[in-house]
Amino acid sequence: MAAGGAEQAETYLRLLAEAELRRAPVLHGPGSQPHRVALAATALALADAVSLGTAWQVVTDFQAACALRMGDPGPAMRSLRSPGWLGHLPASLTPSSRPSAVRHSVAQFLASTRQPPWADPTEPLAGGAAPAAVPIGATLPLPAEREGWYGELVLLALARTGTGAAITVATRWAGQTRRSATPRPQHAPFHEVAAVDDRGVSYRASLWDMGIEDGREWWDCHLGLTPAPPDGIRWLDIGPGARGRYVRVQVAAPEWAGGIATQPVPAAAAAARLLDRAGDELLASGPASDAAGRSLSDRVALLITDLTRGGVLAADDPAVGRLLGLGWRLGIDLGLPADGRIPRAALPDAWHSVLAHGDAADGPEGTAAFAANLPVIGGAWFSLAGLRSARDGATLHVMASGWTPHGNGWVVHGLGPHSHPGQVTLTWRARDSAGRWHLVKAMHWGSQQGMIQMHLVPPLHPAATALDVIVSDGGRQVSATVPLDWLPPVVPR
Amino acid sequence: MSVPWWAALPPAESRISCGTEQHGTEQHGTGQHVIRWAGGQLTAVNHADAEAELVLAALGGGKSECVAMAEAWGAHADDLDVLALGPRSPADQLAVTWDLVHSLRSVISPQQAGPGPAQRPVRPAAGRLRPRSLPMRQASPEMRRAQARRAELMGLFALGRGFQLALSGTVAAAWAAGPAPGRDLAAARPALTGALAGRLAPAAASWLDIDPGTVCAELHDARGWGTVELAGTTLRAALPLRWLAAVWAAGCAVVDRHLVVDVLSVTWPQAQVRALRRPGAAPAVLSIRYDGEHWAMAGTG
Repeated sequence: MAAGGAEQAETYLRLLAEAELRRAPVLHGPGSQPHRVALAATALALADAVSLGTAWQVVTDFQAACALRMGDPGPAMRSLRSPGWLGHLPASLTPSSRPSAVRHSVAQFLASTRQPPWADPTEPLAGGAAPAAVPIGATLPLPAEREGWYGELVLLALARTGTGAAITVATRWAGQTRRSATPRPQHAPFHEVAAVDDRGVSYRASLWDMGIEDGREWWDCHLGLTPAPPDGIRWLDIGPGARGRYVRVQVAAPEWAGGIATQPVPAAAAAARLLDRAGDELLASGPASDAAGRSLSDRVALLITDLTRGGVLAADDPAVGRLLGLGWRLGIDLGLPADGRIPRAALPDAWHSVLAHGDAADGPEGTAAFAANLPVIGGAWFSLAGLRSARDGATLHVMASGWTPHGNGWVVHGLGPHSHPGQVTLTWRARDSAGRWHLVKAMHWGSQQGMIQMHLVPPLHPAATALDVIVSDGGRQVSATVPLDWLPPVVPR
Repeated sequence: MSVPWWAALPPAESRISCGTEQHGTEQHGTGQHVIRWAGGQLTAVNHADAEAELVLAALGGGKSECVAMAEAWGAHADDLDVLALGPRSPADQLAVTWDLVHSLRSVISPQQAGPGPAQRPVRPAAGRLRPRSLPMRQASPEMRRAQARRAELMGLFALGRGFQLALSGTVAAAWAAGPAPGRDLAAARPALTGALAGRLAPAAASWLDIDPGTVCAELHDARGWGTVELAGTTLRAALPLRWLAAVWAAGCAVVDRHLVVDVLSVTWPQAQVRALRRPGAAPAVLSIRYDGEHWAMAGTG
């Protein structure tokens, strides 16, 4: 809740809407560039300063007021439709307590009873189950396709729940069987494989998230198994690959040599975590990266403005201070007074590390097969399921149950009927054994729920032999140490 | 004893098309009927017993446009949407027309939307509205009621500028009156503060020739007219909700380089007001006069 109270935060939002209305904005409806009120509403809602229902009501009031000044009734009526992500009537506006003056405005919220998908569950979602992952670490050569080009599937780990299973994979074109002037295909290798278990039961295996056809060296993807293999089986054979070869996957989890630690962390307000996430975004994506028509640094400066003027955080709050200090070190203006000084110690080690190594391009090129099953955190379960490292970063595979990533839409798109407000319940960071920290630049998740690829930057240190993956929910953090034993490269045929 | 909030508001009048409806043994013909607002009341001039018509309508009879308007006025008398959507300043014009209202109605089913203004088939004005673009289809009953209510408010706005101001004043006065059943002042306070600030800022800007963005307004809950001070480059004002109703809605927020902060007495078209020459100064009592379009100084009191 806002330090200044929900009333102060909502008042700030409404005064901002009045100021914006005086500028006679021309709104073209939902689009890629949200208006100022939507961005502020997003910040205040995610900081838990106002309810999503209140935030949405101010946004729609503003849009309707703009519409009436343009002579376009569409938005004035459309604004009555609640967005899909606003699942239920906010508690503060229950029929028994809401003021009559807003009863019609919130009538829209009465239709649905679904829980907001962004909500932070305190327990794993119903139907969710802890995923279990086992490492594989084997390569399945694929038969030649067009022009003699042949690929390979590097199988990293098998992750599964009771209802779904996937093998995390790195795939590439490994070579060409005959001399040809034909260049390497731009798309990923594609060769259908299947799986059969020790009981003779067959499973369809289909590749997910093949990625765009951009001619890259590697594609990170998942091999989904249908149906999900049941408990009790001992192994799976994946294939056939080239010359009918199969790779055997031992399903029983081996004794894991890594470590998992759970420890409390100083409780942080949602607003403080929001600013810390903004700092991570600045470092991972760069201040000049696009944030819905403006630079990310401009967007973060607005975020600070909204949280401080909205009474959510004091201007001298440590979270504000460290973000201003980060801005100063990045050479961007986030609002630090000219004579302001933020001591080095105010910034977390992770930020100092990324500031120092942000431009590194010395990552080892390789794949590491590991698996780690984390204890529940933030009401969700996670399994770490292998990693591929490249010169400019690394892709960490994660299977999640009870948690859906929403990327950085919260900072880019703002609150809108079609843009999910996102969530900041969990923070992901990593630190390799050489002491280099890594932040999540992007999350990629495909059609299959639960399988997530996290793109880590800067790249792993060349001498790193292990990686600590750290997940925090603002009151507790789980740290899992996974080995970086690079799989040996396959000898070309 | 202060004067009624509406004392300085000019009366407003509008003509609307009122369809043929059966009312008991009487039949009112189709025609241009007069809707009038004066003395804090909306009146359907051509309907001598609008109350009786409403009762008949509740029993299943038809409802004329005029009577529907009167009913809608009452339904929106404490509706914060009026302040959220309504005009902020003389330069702030709403582009709400009857074509627009009729088009909205034509895509809302009043049968499903519940009670509302009389429906009438009207062809949308070309280029003004595309009913198919409106989100009326597959709407829940709650959504339809909300849309019907919004369309109803558009109908009240379409009556014209004078009605928009009078309705805004009505809503502000309702909330200024204090606690009432179903009216949670604490929950509505941010919206009311926004409504005050959004209307004071342009007024103060014209008063002092300053950027409206430098005006900081809050609700004044204590006795008295409030405070208006200049703090650096910021104009800090605390005014009661009554200011919105009695002063702003009357169109006399700024008169001859004075900020009017309260209306003391009215002998139409002349009024005695309390006004500030500059921020921080003690208010003076002025006589102002309405010339049919504007208020102007009539002399010091």
